[in-house]
Amino acid sequence: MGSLRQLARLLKYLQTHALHFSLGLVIVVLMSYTSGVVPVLIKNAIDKGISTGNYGVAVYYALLILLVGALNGAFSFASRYLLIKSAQHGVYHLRMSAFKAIQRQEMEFFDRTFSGQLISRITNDTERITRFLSFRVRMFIYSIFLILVSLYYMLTMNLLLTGVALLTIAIVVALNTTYAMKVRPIYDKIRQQTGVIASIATGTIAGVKTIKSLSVEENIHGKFSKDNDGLYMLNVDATKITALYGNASFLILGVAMSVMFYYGGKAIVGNTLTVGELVAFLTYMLTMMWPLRALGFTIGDIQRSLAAASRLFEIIDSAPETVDPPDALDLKNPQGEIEFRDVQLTYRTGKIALKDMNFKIKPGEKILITGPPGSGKSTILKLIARFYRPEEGTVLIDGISVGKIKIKSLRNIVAYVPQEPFIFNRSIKENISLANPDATMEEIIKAAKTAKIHDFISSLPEGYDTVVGEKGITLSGGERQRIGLARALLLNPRVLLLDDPVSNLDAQTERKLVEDLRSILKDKTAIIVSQRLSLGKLADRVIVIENGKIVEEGKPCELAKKGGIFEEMISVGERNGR
Amino acid sequence: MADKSSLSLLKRFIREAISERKTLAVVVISIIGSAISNIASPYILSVAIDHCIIPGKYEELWIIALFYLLALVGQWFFATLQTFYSEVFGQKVLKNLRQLLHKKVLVSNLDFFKEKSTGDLVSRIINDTNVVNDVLVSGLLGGLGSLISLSGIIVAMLLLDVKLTLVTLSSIPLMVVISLYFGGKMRKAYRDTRQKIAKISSVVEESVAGIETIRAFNKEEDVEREFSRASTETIKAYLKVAVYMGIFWPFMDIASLLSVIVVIAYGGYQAYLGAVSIGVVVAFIQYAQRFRGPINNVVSMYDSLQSALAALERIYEVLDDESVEDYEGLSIEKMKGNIEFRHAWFEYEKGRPVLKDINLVIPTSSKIAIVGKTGAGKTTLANLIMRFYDPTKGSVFYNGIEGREISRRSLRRRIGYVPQETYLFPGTIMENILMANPESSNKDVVRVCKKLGVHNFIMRLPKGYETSPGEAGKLLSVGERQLISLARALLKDPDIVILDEALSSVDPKTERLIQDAMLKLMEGRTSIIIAHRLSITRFVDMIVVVEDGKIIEEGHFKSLLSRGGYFQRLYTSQMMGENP
Repeated sequence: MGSLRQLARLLKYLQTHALHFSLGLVIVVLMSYTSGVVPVLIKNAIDKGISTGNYGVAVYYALLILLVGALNGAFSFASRYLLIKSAQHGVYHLRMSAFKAIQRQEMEFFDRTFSGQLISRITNDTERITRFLSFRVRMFIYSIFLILVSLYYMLTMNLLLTGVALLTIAIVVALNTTYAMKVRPIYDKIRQQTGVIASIATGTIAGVKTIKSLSVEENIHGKFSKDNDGLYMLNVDATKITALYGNASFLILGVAMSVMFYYGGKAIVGNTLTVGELVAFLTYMLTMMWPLRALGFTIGDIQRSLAAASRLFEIIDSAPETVDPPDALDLKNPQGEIEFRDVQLTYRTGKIALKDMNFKIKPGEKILITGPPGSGKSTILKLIARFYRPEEGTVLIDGISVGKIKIKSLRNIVAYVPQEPFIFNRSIKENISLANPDATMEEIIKAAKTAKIHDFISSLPEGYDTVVGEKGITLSGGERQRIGLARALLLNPRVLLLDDPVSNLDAQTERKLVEDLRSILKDKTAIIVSQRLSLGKLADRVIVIENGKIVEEGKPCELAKKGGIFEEMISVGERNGR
Repeated sequence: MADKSSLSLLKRFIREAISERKTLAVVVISIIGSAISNIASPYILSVAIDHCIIPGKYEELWIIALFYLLALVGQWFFATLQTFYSEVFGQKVLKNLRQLLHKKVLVSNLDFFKEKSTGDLVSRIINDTNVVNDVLVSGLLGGLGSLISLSGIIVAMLLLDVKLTLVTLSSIPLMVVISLYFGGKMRKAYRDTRQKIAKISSVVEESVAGIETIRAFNKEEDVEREFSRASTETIKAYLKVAVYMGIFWPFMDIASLLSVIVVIAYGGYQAYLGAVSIGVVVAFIQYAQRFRGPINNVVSMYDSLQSALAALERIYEVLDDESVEDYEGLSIEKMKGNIEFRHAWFEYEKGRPVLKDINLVIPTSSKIAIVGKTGAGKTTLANLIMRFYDPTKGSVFYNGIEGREISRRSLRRRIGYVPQETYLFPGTIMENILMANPESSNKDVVRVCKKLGVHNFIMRLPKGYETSPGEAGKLLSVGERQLISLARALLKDPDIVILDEALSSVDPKTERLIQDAMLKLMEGRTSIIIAHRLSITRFVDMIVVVEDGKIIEEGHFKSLLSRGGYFQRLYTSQMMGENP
């Protein structure tokens, strides 16, 4: 019942190309007729032409076969094209709504979902659905009608032989269905095991220095060999099933054809069957060979294709309808005042991230938030940027809850620079001008200079046009951070949120960057999260957080003498020489 | 020239693949058997028609029917045999190739990895070997089978009737042309769809991995547009496949039908003249329908040969690479004694020395720190001690033995190395530490971790020692990963330790934990620290300052500080500007 509902929902996506789809199905039916009639024509050519010596009739049927063949080709072309076109467009809509749904998901969704999984939904699952809607449906209709047409013509020729054929068809379809159902899970396992091997190989290559320095080459190779053998065994298993079940239909067909041959021969001698008819029977069996296999596979595949569809529906259904509430507003003339009112947030693991967080930041104020790792510092930034919503309490900008501000408007006011900014597989220029594609080259260079990354970019062979990221050159953590900063600077926001902006920089660059940040932050509200207390120089106020609570607050110089956590942190820093 | 080299590639591959002789013999037998039984059934049919059915001699029909059954059962039997053994053969070849590649990667020296990305190498081990199996093994064997059945059919037809054979064969060139032209286009279009799908997955990957950035900069719509574009491209590519497929298969069918028609027309005429029997015509009708598959097989194999050869070339490139480490040499049990650099020079690229005439004695059981700017040559010194590289000129001596004479493996077994960036393998933390010494037990790991003071840290993780740190340890910070690396080193109980301090920031608490663990690990062992932060230099016996590949200062912490040289400048500059 559930499957039917999934199927109905899936078919709805075909709406825009409903005409194409139904026309395609009709043509498939015509195609099965043109295929099914050829053996009859061959029969006539033999019986009415060749056996009787009526040469003209033989040629007539030969030409008729050619005509039917040409028609069959045309039908095949048209049905394939129409069905693929409608299936592709239908799946396009499905894919689009799944992708849009992913984009609408709460941040929390990405914390618990692997990107590999999502990619597999969007590519493999949709591929499977397309194949089902175009190829499988086409073969299903074709096979059913071909069987019907063949059975009809067989019945007009000989009852006994038709019975043999019917029995054969039933057995072969059952065999192929079992085959498809048995072999699929093994193929899934093979895919999985291939992944295991690939991950071991990745480990070997990426960790080669570690392996060598530990002198454990043999162990690692032993592990690889073991899993490689495992993959081999799985493949042998799959082959066994293919060899046994996949080929068994040949045996059944062979036996059936021999039976036909024997009884058919007898019938010819007894004058109840003609030579042409026997040939037609044998040809039918050969013609149906592949459609029967496809039928078995289609039946074996329905469940899996619908499962793929339901996985996509799940993604679509789990996403919120819209990002903004209906009464969201544009924030014009933002001042940059930020307030946390009784904010509480719990992580998915059940650990409390923030509790009863209360503070107010004046427009233009610079705040350093510090505290031990895992204390909830970064979470504060993410709440302001509305990546997460507080469970209780409100985060306000200029007295308005961030949840009530239109997301687009919020993004223009607040720029968030994560600790590890994501670098897109594009040129550096495009990466920096991400937020502002109209920015001039001068503006980009200015931002890059302030972010202390210009010299590095200039040293690259293609400068700002150098492609970075996965398929380009790889950037170090510090370089990524500085590009992320340049990006944010180009946006020129009211509120700047920096998540540990210097964590990957060496001491000298850090010092220079801190100097320059002072002037950039001049008339902005800035919240900086950092372990490094050097940034305290920029701050009007320091907030120290521990276990999701504010434990100290005040001017940096006051806190340094207060004898609390902040002072302790400074002294640890000094002892460690930083 | 290109053809010649691909021919030699193929020859070499076949020579190496043939080692699986028994399996291959079964495959060849089954291919031949399959071809013979395939040819037999139409022939038996013709005999039955001409000798029993038309003359009405019913008595012998059962014998012929039995032969017919035998032929068809034989067809099944040999097909099953061929499916199974050719796949097993292919999988064996594939398994061995992967094994060889993996082994090769492990014995390669660091030069080998310099210009190759991880993804590329993994793809050679996984994907290229797959292509080779699909095309060269399964494809070649399938193609061989097709060729044999094709020639078998032609021979059988010639035996039955020469003229009729020539007429029937007239459609073969047409099939070859269709298969070459439209089939080629179809396969190319199909490859295109794979590329478009890959593009879709890279868009999804970027949009998921970069979701924070995309949202922070309002880029949702742009990404959506890009995705829509990639999707539309896929549709186009698939429609192209639909067109070529839609042309290719019907044309092949019609070409195949043409032979049937020609047989009916010409054969019918001959039968009418009495030149051939009806049974022969019927046999020819059946034969004519059997060209299509084999011809398509052969042509498509030829088509994909190019990509398979490219894959093969990429595989051999790795296997033939000469940057391998030699593990021969003296096996040593203990590494007590001084380590000494004597006039050691080293260059990664010819003419650009990284180390210049290094002379340094590291006394046994002493602790030394190497300091200097990034790129000064600090890590290279460590690489030379571990014999990742040998000096281009001069030598490193261990307890008076020239390093080149000592087996790399036995040397490294005595060294505990803690790199800047710890690589964690897929698996749990326990497995990751345990791998350093396959002979130790879980208890040893816990003991070592307790000793280093990292036990409590590990127990705080969600599943303690059984926590899986995610691929490449993404769930742990750099500092936390280094703690695991320290535990690894101690589990080996080495005589020499080499510590490369992490560059990126570690929070003060973890940093203290690391420092304490480092000091414990160094106790009683010859220790070399590559120091980026100078705080640790207070605890060592000797500091070596490297600048531009040369040792410019050497001495104890206090004496260097008071000397007012390079070290003092470096130290004060690092200490400055860090405090609020």
